[in-house]
Amino acid sequence: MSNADTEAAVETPASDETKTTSLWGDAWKQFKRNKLALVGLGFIILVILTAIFADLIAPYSITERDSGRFREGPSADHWFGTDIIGRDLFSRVVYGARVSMRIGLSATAIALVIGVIMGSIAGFVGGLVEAAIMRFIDIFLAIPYIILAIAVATVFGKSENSVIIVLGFLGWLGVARIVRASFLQLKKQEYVEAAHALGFSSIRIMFRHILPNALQPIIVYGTIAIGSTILSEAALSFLGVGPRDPTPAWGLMVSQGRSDLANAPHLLFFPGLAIALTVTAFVFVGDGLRDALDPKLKDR
Amino acid sequence: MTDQVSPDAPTVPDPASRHGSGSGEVLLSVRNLEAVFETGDGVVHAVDGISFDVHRGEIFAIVGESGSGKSVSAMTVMGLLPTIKVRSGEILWKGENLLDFTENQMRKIRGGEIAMIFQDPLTALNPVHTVGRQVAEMARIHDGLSKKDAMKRAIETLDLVGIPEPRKRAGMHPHEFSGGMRQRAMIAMAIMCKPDLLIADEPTTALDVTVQAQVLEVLVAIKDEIDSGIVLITHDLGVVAGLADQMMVMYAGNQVEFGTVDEIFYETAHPYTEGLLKSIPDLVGDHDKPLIPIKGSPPSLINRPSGCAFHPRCSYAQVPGICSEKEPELRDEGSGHLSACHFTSVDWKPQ
Repeated sequence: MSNADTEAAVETPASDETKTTSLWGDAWKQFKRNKLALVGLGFIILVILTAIFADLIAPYSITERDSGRFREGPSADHWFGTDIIGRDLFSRVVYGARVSMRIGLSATAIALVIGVIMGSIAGFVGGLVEAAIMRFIDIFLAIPYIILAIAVATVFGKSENSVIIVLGFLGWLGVARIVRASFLQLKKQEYVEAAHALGFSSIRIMFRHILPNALQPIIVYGTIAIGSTILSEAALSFLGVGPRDPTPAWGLMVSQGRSDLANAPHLLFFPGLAIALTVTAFVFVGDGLRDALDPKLKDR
Repeated sequence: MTDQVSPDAPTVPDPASRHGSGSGEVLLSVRNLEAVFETGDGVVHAVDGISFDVHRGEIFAIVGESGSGKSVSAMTVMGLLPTIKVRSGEILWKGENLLDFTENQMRKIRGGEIAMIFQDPLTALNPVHTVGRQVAEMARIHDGLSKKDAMKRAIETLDLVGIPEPRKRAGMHPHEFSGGMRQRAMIAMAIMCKPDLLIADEPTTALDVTVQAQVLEVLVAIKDEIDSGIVLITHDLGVVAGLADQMMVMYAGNQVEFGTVDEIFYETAHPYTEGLLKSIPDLVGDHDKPLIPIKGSPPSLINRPSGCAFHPRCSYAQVPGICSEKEPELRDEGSGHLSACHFTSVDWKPQ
C-alpha cells in the first residue's frame, strides 16, 4: 500500500488548511466581499437591536402626548417631530421596529416550516400527492392576498396576529414551490440512491440527506421574504386591515400621515424611510447570500 | 419478439449445481429472473431469465456492455427499482424469496445484510455531511448505536479500509477527499454493519488507474475480514481476471455464458465473450496486433433481434439459419460451464 501512503502524504498539507474553513466559513468569506450585503446586514442588526432595546432608546412611550405640540417638525425634543395628536414620532418609529420584526420573522418562520414540509413531500413522493399539493398552491396563488387578508381580518379581528396568519399562510406557497423544484433535482442524485441502497428510511432521506442540500435557495428566499413580508405588513396596515392605533406599525403611521403630506411631510417620511431601508437591507443580504452560497461562483 | 419459453426452463442446466472456489453456504440464489420495464415505447426486456448463485467467501462477477442488464439485475435484487416489473423467477436470500418481502423488511436487508457500493464515489457521498457522520449513520439506523459509539465504530471502519488518520478524516467533508479515499469511505459505509453480501457496481470505473488496484485490494481484504460474498459488476475483464471466482457474461438482458474465470478466459464458449476478450489491448504480447472491436452496437431491448440476440454482430452466425430463427438455450459445455450458443465452441471456433 505504498501508493496509499504517498497519496495521503501529498494531501496532508492541504487538509491542514481546509480544517479552518468549513462550508459556512467559505460562504462568509464570499459574503464579506459584497459591500452592499454587508451594509444591509449592518442595518438589519441595527433594526434588531432597536427592536430589542426599544425601551432604552425611545425617549417617550408610544402613547405619551406632548400637549399643544401637534404635527411639529423635527426638533431637539422630538427628533422626528410629533404626530397629529402630539406623540413623539421617533419613539413610535423605534417601537415600530418591534412590530415589523415580530411580524416579518414570525410570518416568514411559519411560511418556511409549512413550505419546506409540503414542498419536500411534493417533490419527494411525486404522483398524485404532488399534483394535489401543487394544484392547491396554484389555487391560492390565484387569489389576491389583500382579499384573503381582509377575510382573515374580519374573522380574527384586526391585529398583529391576523397579519402573521395571512402572510405566513400565503408565504408558504412560494417556499413550497422552491423546495419542490430542488427536491425534484436532488432526488435523482446518486447519494440519494445510495442512501436507499443502504437502507435509510424515506423520511430520513428527505430531511437528513436531501433537505440540507436544498438549503441554499431556501435561505436566500427566506431572507428576502422577511423583507417583503414587512412590506406587505405595511401595505395591510396602510389599508387598515392590520394592527390598529395605537400600535406603532410603520405602515399605519404612513397611512395616518398621508392626509398631512402638504404641511407635515415628516409624518410620512420617517416611517416610510424605515420601511424602505429595512426592506432594501433584507434584499441586499438575500442577494449577498445567493452569491455566497452558490457553489458555482466559488472561484470568482 | 421472442419471449424465453419457460416450459423449457427445467431442462436448462442449473448453475447452482456447482461451486466456485468459495465453498461457503449459498447466500443469494437468483432463479430464472425475468424483469421488464413497461415504457410508452414498448416493453423493455432488461433482465431475461437469468440464474446464478453467490456463496459466502466468493467473488461473483457479472460482466457485460453498458445496457446489458447487469446493473438492473443487481438493483432488482435490492428492490431499488420501483418501475421494474418482475415477471417471473425468484430471488432467494438465505432461502427466502426477497420478492415477497415488504418495504420495511427490505430496508433492514439493505445495508444490514446486503450492501451496495456505487460507481462514482464523487456523487454517491452526500456533500453536506462529514464523512464520519455518513459512515456512523449506518450503525445508528441498523444497529441502533448511540451517536458516540457509532462514531467510534465509524473511525475504526475508516481505519480498516485504509484511510490514514481516520479520526481527523472523519470530521472532513467528501470534497476534501481524493477519489480513491472517497471510494474507501463508500466501502466503509457499506461494511459498517458487516453485511453478508456486498454488491459492487463498477466500483473502480470512476477511479484513476493507479488507485483502482488499491481499492480492489481493500475490497478483497474486507471480504475476508467480515466473511462475506461479493457480487462484482463490471465491464472491465482485467478486473475480473484478477479477482473473481465465478462469472457470468450478460448480453441484451440474457445470460450468455457462465463459468469459472479460468473456463471463460481459456475455454471461451460463446462468440460474444470471445469478442470481449479480443477487444482488450494486449500490453505484453505483440504490440502491432490490431485491436478487434465487436462490430455494431448493442441491440434495442424493446425490439430485440429474432433468434439469438447477438446474431447481427456475430462473425460466426448462420444467417439465414438457426441463429436468426431460434433463441438459444443455456447449454452445458462441460462440468457446469454454460453457454447460450447453438454451437459448441468446437463447432464455431476457427481451428
